Amino acid sequence: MFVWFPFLALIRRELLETLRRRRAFLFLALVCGLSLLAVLVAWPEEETRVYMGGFAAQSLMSALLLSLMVSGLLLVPGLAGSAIVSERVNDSYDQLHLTLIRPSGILAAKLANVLGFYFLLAVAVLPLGGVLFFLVGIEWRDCLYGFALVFSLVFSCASAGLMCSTLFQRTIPAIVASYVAMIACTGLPVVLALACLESFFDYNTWNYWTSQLDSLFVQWGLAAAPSRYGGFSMEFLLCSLCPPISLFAPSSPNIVREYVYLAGAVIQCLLALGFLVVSASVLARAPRPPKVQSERPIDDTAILDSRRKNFPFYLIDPLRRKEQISDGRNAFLIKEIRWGLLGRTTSLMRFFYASLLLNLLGVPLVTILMGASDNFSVACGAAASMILTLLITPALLSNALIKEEEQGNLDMVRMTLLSPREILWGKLQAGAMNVLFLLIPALVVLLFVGASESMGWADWTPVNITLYAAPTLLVCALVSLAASMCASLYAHSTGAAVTGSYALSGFLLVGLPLVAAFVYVMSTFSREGRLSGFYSLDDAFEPPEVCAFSPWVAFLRMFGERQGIVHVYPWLGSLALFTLIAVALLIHVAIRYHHKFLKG
Amino acid sequence: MAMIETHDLKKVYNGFVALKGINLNIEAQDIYGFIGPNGAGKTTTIRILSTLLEPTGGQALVDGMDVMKSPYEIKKIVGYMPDSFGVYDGMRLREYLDFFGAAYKIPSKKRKSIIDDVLQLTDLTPRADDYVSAFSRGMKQRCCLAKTLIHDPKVLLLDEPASGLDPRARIEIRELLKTLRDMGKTILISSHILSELGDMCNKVAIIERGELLAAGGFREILAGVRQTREIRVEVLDGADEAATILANSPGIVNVDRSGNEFQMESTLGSAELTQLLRTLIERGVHVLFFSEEKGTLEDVFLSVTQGGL
Ligand SMILES: Nc1ncnc2c1ncn2[C@@H]1O[C@H](COP(=O)(O)OP(=O)(O)O)[C@@H](O)[C@H]1O
Ligand SMILES: [Mg+2]
Repeated sequence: MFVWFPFLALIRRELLETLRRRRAFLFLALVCGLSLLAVLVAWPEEETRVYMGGFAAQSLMSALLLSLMVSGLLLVPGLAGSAIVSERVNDSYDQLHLTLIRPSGILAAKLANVLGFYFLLAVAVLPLGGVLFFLVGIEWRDCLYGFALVFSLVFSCASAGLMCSTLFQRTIPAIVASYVAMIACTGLPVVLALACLESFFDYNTWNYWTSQLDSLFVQWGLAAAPSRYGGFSMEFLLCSLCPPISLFAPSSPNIVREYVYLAGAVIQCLLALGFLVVSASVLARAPRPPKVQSERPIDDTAILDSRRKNFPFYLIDPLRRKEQISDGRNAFLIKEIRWGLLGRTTSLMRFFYASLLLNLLGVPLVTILMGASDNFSVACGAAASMILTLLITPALLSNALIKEEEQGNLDMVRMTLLSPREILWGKLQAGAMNVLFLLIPALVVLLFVGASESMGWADWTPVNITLYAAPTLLVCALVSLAASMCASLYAHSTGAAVTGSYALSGFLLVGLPLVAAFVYVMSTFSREGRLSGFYSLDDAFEPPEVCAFSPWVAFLRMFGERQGIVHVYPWLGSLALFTLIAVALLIHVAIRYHHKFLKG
Repeated sequence: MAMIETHDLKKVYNGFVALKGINLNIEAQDIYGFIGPNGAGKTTTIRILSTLLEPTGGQALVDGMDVMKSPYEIKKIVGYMPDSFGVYDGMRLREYLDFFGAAYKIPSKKRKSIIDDVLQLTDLTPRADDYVSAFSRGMKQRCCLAKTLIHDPKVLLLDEPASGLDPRARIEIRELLKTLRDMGKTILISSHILSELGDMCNKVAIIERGELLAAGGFREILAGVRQTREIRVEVLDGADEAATILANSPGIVNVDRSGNEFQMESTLGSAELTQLLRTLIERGVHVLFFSEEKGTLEDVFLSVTQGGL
C-alpha cells in the first residue's frame, strides 16, 4: 500500500510520532476535562428536567459541542502551524522534498496527522456524549450536523495553520499567525465589528438597515431557499459565519438549527479548501535561498554622515563598528541587547506600532461598547489593553532560553566563565526590555483615554482608573514574562515553548480566577446544599477571596457596577500574590536552568 | 603528570548506558586521538570532561581537578569545540570573538591584541569584519576554533573538528593542531574518520558502545594486538639467495615473494632482526630496503573492534 501511496507512510510516521509524545496525554486530559466541565455546567437542575427536557438536552449538546470546538481551536492551530515550518527549521524538509512524495502529498499527510489526532481525541470523549440520551428531545440531524460543523471548523483552522506554516520561515510567527487565522475562521471578528456598528446606531436605524438587507435576500430569492424552514436572513448569515455563536443561537423562524449548522460547515469547508490550495501552490514553488548578510562596517564618519543625509531615520546605524564590550559588565546582557534587541529593532518597532494601533482602536472601542458612561466601562477599556498586551508577550519571549539551545550556541556559552545567573539575568533583562515595546504604547493609550474621559466628565475618576490599571498591567506582564521563561526552560522546541507559554500564562491569568470562582461556588454548594447562583458567573467573582486570584478581575471589581464597595484590598492582595508567583517562577527557572543541562 | 584522567567514568541517559566505565590517561602535550564509530560515546566523554555534563559514576580529573568539584577552575584552562554548533546572527567575526573574550572575562585592553593573535593563528584576519553567519562550513569551523583558543587554554577538547571539511581545510586544521601542540597544549581530538588522526596523534583510544577497547601509543596497541611484526625486504639482486636465507631463518613465517620484493611476518626481536639483515649482506645479497611495515590506524582499529561498526 505504501508503494502506491507514499504519503501514507508519512501519515503513519507522523501520527505515531504525535501519539508517542508525552503531550498527547496532556491534550487528551485537556479535551476530556473541558468536556466533562461542559456537561457538569450544562446539566439541568432537578426541576427543569421535567418540563423542559428538550431545551435542556439542546443546551447540553451545545455545551458538549462547544467544548469539543474550543479544545480543537486551542490545539489544532499550534500543531498545524508548526507542522511544516519545523521541518524547515530542522533542515529535514529538503529531504522530504526529495522523496517521491509530492508537495500536495506532504500537505495531505500533515493535515491528516493533525485532523487524525484531533479525531482520536474527539472519539475519546464520545462516551460523554452518551449523557445526551438521558435527556429526550434531540433530533439526530441536529446532532450529526453539529458534529459536522465542529469538524469542519477544525478542518479550516488546520488548513489555515498549514498555510501559515508554509508561508513563514520561522516557527513563532507561523504559530502566532495560525492562531490569528483561527480567530478569523471562527468569524468572531465579523460579529464583533457588527456589534460595534450596532452600538453606534440607534435601535431604529439599525433595524432599518438589517430589514433592508433581509428584503434584499428576499429579492434575490434566497429567503425562499430552504422554504420549509424559513429563509435566509441577516441572523442566519451571521450565525453561519460564526460557528461558536451558532451553537447557542436560539431556534426561531429565521434560524433553523440544522440549516445554520449545515451552512456553517459548508462555509468552513470552502475556506479550508481555499487555504489548502494556497499552501499547495506555495509548497510547489522552489524555496527561497536563505539571505546572506555581507555588508562591511563603515569606519569613516563622513560616509556614515552622508548615508544619514540620504535617509535620516536610522535609529541605530547598523554599519557602524561596535565598541568592545567593556569590563565588569555582563557580557551576555550586552550581547542580548546589541545583537538580540537592537538586531531586531525593525520587528520590535513593528510590534510597537502594532501595539499602539491595537490599543488606540481597542481601548476606546471597548469603552464605548460598555456604554462609555461609567467607571466600569473605562475599566473595561483598560482591561482590554491588558489582554492585548498579554496576548503578544509570550510570542516575544517564549523562545528566549530555547533559542540558544536550538541555534547550537548554548554549550559554548556554558563553557565560558559566565555564571548561569549572568546568562539568565541577561535573558531576563533583555526580555523585559522587549516587553517595554508593548507596554509603553499600552500605558500611553491608557493615560490618553483616561485623560480625555476625565475632560469629558470634568471628573478625575477615569484618570484614577488608568492609574490603577498601570500597576495591574505591569504585574500581569511580569507574570507573563515569568511564565514564558518557565515554558522556555521546559520545552524542547520553539513550537512547544510558544504553546507552553501561552498555556501557562493563560492558566495563571485566566484559569486561576476561574478555578477560584468554581471552588467558591462549590463551597457555597456544600454549605447551602444546593447550587445557588451557579448561573450567575458575576456573583462568583464577587467575593474578595476570589478577586485576589486575579489582578485584572480584582481591578474590574474595584470599578464594578455595585458602587459603594471599593475592593482595594483584594486588588492589592492580588498584585502581591501575582508578583510572588512571578518571582517564585523566576527563581525556579534560575535553579533548574543549570541543573537541566548537567543531567543531559 | 597526567593532564586528563578518568577513572571508571560512567554515564546513563534515562536508562540508556552511554559510557560503561572509561579509564583514560592523557599526559601533558599529547595529541590524543579518540576514535570510535557514531554513537560510541565520544561526545558524552568530552562533554563530561568539559564540565557540561554530570557523570553518573566514576571520576574525571582535568589538571588534577575534579570536574564536579571545580568546574569554574576547569573552564579557565579548557577550550571546548562542540561537534555541532551554531553562530549568532548579525555578528561579525571580531564581535563574535570579542563577546567570547568578554565572557571569559579577559580585560578589554588585552582582548584586542589576543583577538588579533587568534585571527592570525587561524588565518582568519582578512575575514575579521565579515558576518559569521555568512561563513562556509570550513570557515565556521575555524571561527569556532578561534573562539576556543581565545582564553589561551592549556587543554583543548575538540569534538570532530574536521568533520564535513574538504581535504584542504582538513590538512590546514591538522597543521594548526601541530602548531598548537608545539605551543605546549594538550589536545584531545575525537573522530570517526581514521585517516584524519593517523599521522597527527601520538596516542589513541578506541571506544565502541561506551567501552574503551584499547588505549595508549600506536605501536603498543598494535603490538598488543598482533604477535608478529610485518617486515618488508627489497633486494637489487640475489633474490633467490635471499629467499633461501629467509626460508631457513627461524621466526620468519609467511614469506610472500613477488620478484625482488619480500613480505613476511616475524616473531623476532629487534636485535635478531639486525642479525638477519647482517646475514643477508654477508651472503652477498644487495639489500635495497629492509624495514618494518608500521601498522596504520586502520589496522589497529579493525583488529581491536569486533565489527558492528
Ligand atoms: N541527551 C541524550 N539523551 C539520551 N541519549 C543520549 C543523549 N546524548 C547521547 N545519547 C546517546 O548516547 C550514545 C553516545 O552518544 P555520543 O556520545 O554522542 O556518541 P558519539 O559522539 O561517539 O557519536 C548514543 O547512543 C546516543 O544516542
Ligand atoms: Mg559525537
